[in-house]
Amino acid sequence: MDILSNIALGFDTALSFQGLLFCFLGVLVGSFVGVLPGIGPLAAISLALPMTYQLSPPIALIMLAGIFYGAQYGGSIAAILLNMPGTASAAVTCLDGNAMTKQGRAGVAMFTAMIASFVGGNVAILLVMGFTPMLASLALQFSSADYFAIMLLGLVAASSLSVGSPVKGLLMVVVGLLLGLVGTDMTSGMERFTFGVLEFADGISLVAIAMGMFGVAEILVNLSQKQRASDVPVGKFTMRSMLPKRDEMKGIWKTLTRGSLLGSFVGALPGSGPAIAAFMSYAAEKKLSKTPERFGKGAIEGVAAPESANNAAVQAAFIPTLSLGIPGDAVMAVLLGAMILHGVTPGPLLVTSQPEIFWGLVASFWVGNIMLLLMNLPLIKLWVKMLSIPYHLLYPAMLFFICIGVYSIRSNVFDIYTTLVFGLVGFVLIKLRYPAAPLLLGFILGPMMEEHFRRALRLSRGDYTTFVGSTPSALFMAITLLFLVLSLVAVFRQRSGKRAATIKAEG
Amino acid sequence: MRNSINWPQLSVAGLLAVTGGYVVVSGFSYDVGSARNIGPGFFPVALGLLMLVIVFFVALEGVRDAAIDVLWVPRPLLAISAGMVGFALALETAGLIPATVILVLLSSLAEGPLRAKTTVINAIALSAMGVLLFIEAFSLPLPAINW
Repeated sequence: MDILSNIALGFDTALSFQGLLFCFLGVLVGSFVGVLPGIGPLAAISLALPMTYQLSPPIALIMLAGIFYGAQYGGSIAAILLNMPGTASAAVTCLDGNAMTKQGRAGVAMFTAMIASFVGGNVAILLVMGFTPMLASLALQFSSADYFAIMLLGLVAASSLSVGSPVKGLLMVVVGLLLGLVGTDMTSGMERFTFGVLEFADGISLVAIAMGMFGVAEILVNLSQKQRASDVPVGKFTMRSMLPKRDEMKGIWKTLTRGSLLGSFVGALPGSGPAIAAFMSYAAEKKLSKTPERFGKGAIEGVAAPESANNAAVQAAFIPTLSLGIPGDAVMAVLLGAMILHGVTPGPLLVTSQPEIFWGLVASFWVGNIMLLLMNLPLIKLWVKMLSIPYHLLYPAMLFFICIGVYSIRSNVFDIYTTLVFGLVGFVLIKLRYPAAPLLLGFILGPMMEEHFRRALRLSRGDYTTFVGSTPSALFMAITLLFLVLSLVAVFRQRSGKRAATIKAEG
Repeated sequence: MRNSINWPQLSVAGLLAVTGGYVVVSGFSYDVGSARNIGPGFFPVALGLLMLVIVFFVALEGVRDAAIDVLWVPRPLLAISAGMVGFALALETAGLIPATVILVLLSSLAEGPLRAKTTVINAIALSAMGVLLFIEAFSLPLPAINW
């Protein structure tokens, strides 16, 4: 069987000494940043990226991917013990997880979160193995117009599905696309928006933008707030209390299955990431429950559902990235950038032309998930201790790694200044509730979109209807339009809602 | 009571609108090309116009935003900026260790109270880690200290 030999090839890479070592490092770093509130997988992957330069591409990707899914495991720990999501996708876990901690059942909540994460991850890996090659062979027939349409859908979905204002999300996408234009135009060789600065000729550094917006800006936001993660007392728990009661576990498998499947589906869609998956599965589980009033008061399903969903979503997010070369969310966008920096061309050809990368990565997901399961239960004590590292020691260290990491990419101090500028701009934008993730997605997709747009128009001899001319492109465009209409409706509804509220208050 | 105008939201929207306008204008100075063969100016012009349209809606939404956002937090902003600039200036001239010390000392001023002892320990620990990890292990072409 072809697939069996492919899987064997994948495990060859994943189970090699280097593969195991860097997979372990990846999931360890991932858990670490997942536990710590204020530093997420995105900043960690950007930080680790320059350190992977000496590694072969499959090994580097195994490690970087490990950070991403490792962070989901870690994220639940701070959520349960501190009522502070270590990562955005663990925010929903706070509701019931922390309620359980207050009832003295933190151990059970933690155990449930780990099992749920493991199940969610595994279900999604199976789907990645099945669907990615299928989607890739389908995508081989996609034209440039189809690609343009699907990227547009991804961007619009990412901005309108993000938390907060959809129009602000859209605006950030456009800003990201514009930042992607900076540098030498691939087709004409013309320099655009470089302001005569030599360093901008080959574009703004992806790592500088990512570190600025998600590293420096987050630190500034944290420092500008009074209440911080490390100021909250850590909930207590004992290892003995870890095992859930038998009757609690009875219904849990159904919850886990639903959470995993829903999470995989949402994660594979362009533009929607683990945070949305966790939220949706929590809402669904509450609706389906016979006793919805228990939710928010320490229901075990309230931990199992979002944790299985966010891990499933993270793994499933690799489907569009590895089959189409189109990242679903900002973290995947950075991973995609990492692939390009390592000379790997993401796209439908990846699965067949570089099977050791695709199958090696998939095999490492199994390895990594097992490592996380085995590692995190005994390490919980250590993670709890780490949560008490005071922020005044942590943020200078983070800044140090940001500065030296950005510098090391091309040994140029200019990139440190760029990072600072993006940090300051990012601080203002985040403070005013502009979402940062769509900007990064736009930045990565921008050059690809322009290229496909150009090629599509050249092939159609300037006929714009080419963008709705085929079944896939018409479908993607229709969904995009739907998202746009919904975003605009939201703006007007909010305005009229506010006005009505004001009139009521006045009258 | 009437909601007052949210000036921070409005000014940032205004700045973004100016950026959009600038992009449109400079897009025209590159070659826009034709539909058959679009030039390097086509995408900038299109994106700039799109930006102006979206900014309009953002401003509409943000102008009555009731939240009060404090953007001017001088201590973190100045300390972090000074630390990073200091690091960048010192890195290639004075070496990694002085740059690290400058970064840690300056950025630690971002919040009070002053913790002299822990800050110094932090600076020493990070300098050591930087030399071991980045100069020894990743062999970055940087001096540890330039005497």
